[in-house]
Amino acid sequence: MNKSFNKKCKPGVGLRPTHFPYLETNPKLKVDWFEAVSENYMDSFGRPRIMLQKLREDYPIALHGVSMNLLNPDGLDDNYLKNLKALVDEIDPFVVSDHLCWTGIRPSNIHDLLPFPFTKEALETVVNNIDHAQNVLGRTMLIENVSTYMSFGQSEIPEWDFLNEAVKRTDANILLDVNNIYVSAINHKYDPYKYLDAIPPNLVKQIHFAGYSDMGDFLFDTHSKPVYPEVWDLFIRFIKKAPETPFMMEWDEDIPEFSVVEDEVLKAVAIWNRIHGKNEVNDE
Amino acid sequence: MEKTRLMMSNNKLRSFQNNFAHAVVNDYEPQSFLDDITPAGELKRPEDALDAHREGYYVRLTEALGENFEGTWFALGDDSFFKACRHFIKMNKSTFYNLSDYGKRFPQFLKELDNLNDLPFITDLAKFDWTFKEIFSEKQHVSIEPSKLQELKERPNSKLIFGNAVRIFESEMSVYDIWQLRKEELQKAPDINFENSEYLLLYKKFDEIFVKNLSETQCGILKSLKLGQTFSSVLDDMSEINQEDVINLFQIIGTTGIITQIE
Repeated sequence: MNKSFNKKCKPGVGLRPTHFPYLETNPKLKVDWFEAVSENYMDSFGRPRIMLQKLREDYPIALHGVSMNLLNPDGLDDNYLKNLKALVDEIDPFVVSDHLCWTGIRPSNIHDLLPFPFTKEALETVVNNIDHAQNVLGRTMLIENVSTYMSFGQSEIPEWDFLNEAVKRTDANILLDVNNIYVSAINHKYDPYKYLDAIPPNLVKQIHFAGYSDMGDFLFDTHSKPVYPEVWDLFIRFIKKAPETPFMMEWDEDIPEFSVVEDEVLKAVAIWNRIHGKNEVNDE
Repeated sequence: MEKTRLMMSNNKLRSFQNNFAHAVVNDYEPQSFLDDITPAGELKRPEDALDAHREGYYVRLTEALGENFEGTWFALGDDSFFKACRHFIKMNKSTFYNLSDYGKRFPQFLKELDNLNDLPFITDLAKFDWTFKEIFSEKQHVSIEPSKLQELKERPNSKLIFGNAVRIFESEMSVYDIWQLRKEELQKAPDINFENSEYLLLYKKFDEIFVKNLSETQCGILKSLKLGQTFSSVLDDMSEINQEDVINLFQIIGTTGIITQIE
């Protein structure tokens, strides 16, 4: 449980059950760490949890949640936090993260990363909930920006200011998804660089990239394709400012074999090497 | 006190979320809610933007049912399974944060569907799927040393404590053979006689899941023991006992590691 980073360039990949058979053969990997979706492991002690425990012996792990429901006006689910804390204590991840969104309101759980108006009221709610989650978990969390498909007239604050304020007031940090920035910027017709440049690099402790789907009328965050050039451009701009930020590829639909996902991450490593002038591909 | 204040200050957010959830789950949205929405990109109407979340809701819950009911999906085929899922999802909201917990009522729901009469085993098969899903998620318990079970001879009034990764399954129709074909193509499935009752023991050993056939008597004894009856009282309650059944059951208890303690 003491594996940690020893390089400045930190490429990672999302851990997906479809890759378990390959990973069980203990292949030599070109990525340095894995990100696991917390909910896939926190309530189950089956094969996935055993796989995660095994991988943790050799790799740093980030735990990434999709159901904390940080915009829940009724506060967070105690049972959820209890189960997440147990997993965090067991795995000792280098990052625990979740999304700037809501996922349902009692009695319904919609199991989606849902948009909301960026109001002062919503800010108070998310600040209280992040604060509570960090107190229960006993550690700092990373909060990720999401892709959205609608905006609201009642919003009072630009999304990037809302995100910055939420993490500053809670001493949390940011998981910056450059694909989500691009998708939301095109969908809502603003300059993605305006968002990117408003984020203080020192607050960002992890980067996500992925491939979206062009639905004709709007962009949809499907994590089903390689990364688009416009998204790589955002990554380049940010990694220049914050070279030691761990970065990883998310691929959740039409998941190809592990080497294809790994190759996509290696494109980011090549970018990193080009910018920072070092050959840091993991070949030791 | 602090929580009450927070809840009172969250009325607009709560109202927004209630409207949004209604729009996604019940296909109903008040005009004032729609009026506040600017849809993404070139989408023309707020409803079009909501559709992205509506469809996602059905897709995710259908995926969850597909993962939890693999055998049922196989037996029904894609069309009937997806149709049943859509109907079920419309009538049953997801209330848990974990998608894996969705569908506990699905077996009962299938029983109430009229158009599945040609698959009389489907409810039992769905129940088996759910039982298997449950045991898959259980942590491996620590079994008692088999030699310790000998104590039962001297202390017949002891109670056996079962491990958490143990399930006793009984059904009117035989479904395990059908379930085992779930990864095959439906067309290649051989004719299987499903008309007899089935009694099964599901358990984890060394983190692997095993399924063992039981006789009706063995199933009855195990169920009583699991409920906390002593071994002697279980045997006393039985009018006719097949000695061979009981001897075999002892062997099963000894080799499967389903017991964690004798009290």
